Amino acid sequence: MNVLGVIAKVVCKTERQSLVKLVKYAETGIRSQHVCKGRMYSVSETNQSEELDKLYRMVEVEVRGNDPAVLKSYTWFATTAAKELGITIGECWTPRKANHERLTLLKSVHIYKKHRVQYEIRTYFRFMQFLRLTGSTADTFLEYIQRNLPEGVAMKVTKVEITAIPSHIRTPNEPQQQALSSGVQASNQ
Amino acid sequence: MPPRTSLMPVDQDWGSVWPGPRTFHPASVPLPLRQGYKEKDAPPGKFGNAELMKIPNFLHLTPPVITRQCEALKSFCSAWPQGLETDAKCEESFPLEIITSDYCHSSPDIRDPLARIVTLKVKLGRLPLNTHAKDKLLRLVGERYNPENDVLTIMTDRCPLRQQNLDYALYLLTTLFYESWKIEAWESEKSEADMEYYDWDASASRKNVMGLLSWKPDQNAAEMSADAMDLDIKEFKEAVSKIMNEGEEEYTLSRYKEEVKKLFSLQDISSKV
Repeated sequence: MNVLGVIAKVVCKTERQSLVKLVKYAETGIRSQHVCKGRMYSVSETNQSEELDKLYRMVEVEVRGNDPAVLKSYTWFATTAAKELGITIGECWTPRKANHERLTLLKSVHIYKKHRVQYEIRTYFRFMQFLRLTGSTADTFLEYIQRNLPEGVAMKVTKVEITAIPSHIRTPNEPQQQALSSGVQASNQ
Repeated sequence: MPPRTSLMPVDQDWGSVWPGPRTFHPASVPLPLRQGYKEKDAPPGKFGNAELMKIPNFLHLTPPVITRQCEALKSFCSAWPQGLETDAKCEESFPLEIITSDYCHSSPDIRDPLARIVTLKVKLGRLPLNTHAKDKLLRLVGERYNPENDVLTIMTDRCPLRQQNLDYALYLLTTLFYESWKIEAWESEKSEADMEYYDWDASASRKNVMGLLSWKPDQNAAEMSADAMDLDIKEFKEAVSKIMNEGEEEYTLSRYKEEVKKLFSLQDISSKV
């Protein structure tokens, strides 16, 4: 009883009520599952509707286009917007050479195999890294960036989200027996 | 009619004149631009210039406009939590990494099949594993583990939707973890050939060495414990284990040679002279 008294002082008001319920139910032998359900309802509903913001260690934006000047202007715009919103900017780089996709076709409709015409599509790349963004900041920033994406430019966004290891991954203490034994204990109580 | 630019005041709010993305309109832009190439003339001016009209312009995104728009967006952003300033701190509190990609390009379809790919990265040091569980996990996982960083990478793309792939990746992680803790009946049949590292204490090398040492003339036979001849054996054991575990290199082989010489009490003749 002393222990329970100590615990009751430490926990908050709502939880104290549920603790009392727990003791009562333990004496009568009702399973703890019912108590848990009641506890969830008694602690306010705001906890259930709160969705935690995601954390992104790094968001990498890759833009591809046919004109390097347009890409340069766009990266200037994106980095300026990031500075305004207080986002840490990581590395921004562009590969020295573009990706030339070449195609060789016959010049004439009929015969003249020796005379051909060559076409090429040049794709230029630019990379920008933004570090340590929250989910809402990332969504807002990316939406702003994407709404102002010029025509002829494609974007790829890679997000590295950091989370805790799921709580169900923990050292099993003879897991196959544990479920049985806990069920047996609850029914005995 | 003169162009509008001649009537524009210098301190006007450019953001109101050019509020959104628009094709270049020379009579509305008060800049003396020249764009294009002619062999013998100067680059052509802005009136009737197709090049200026073709290229997408950023006249609607001048610095004051960006500032104004970002001010309005700040209410939708949240601050990065304190205490997670460096990558090391982030990793300490949040060891699991989920990497996804989004694609935005102009095409009839907004969906990209590559967007469903989900990559999960976690350091094995953060998972509660004992030696047996870690060995079993590494065997199950195979190439997905990088011993240099101690990072396990799980990439899933077998489901059509990203949420499904994420759930599958987490399910894989959970299953791998719990399976590695289980001890099956047939695991007791593990022989020396299946061992992932060289254990000198259970090897033929130890038997031979013990046999040799127990025949030393100045010592009694049947002293099979390692405690009697501790130093030599430990270093010899380390030398042999190094060769087997780390590979045959000049350093490991030379160490082995030194240890064997010590074991047989062979002295270096050249140094004596």
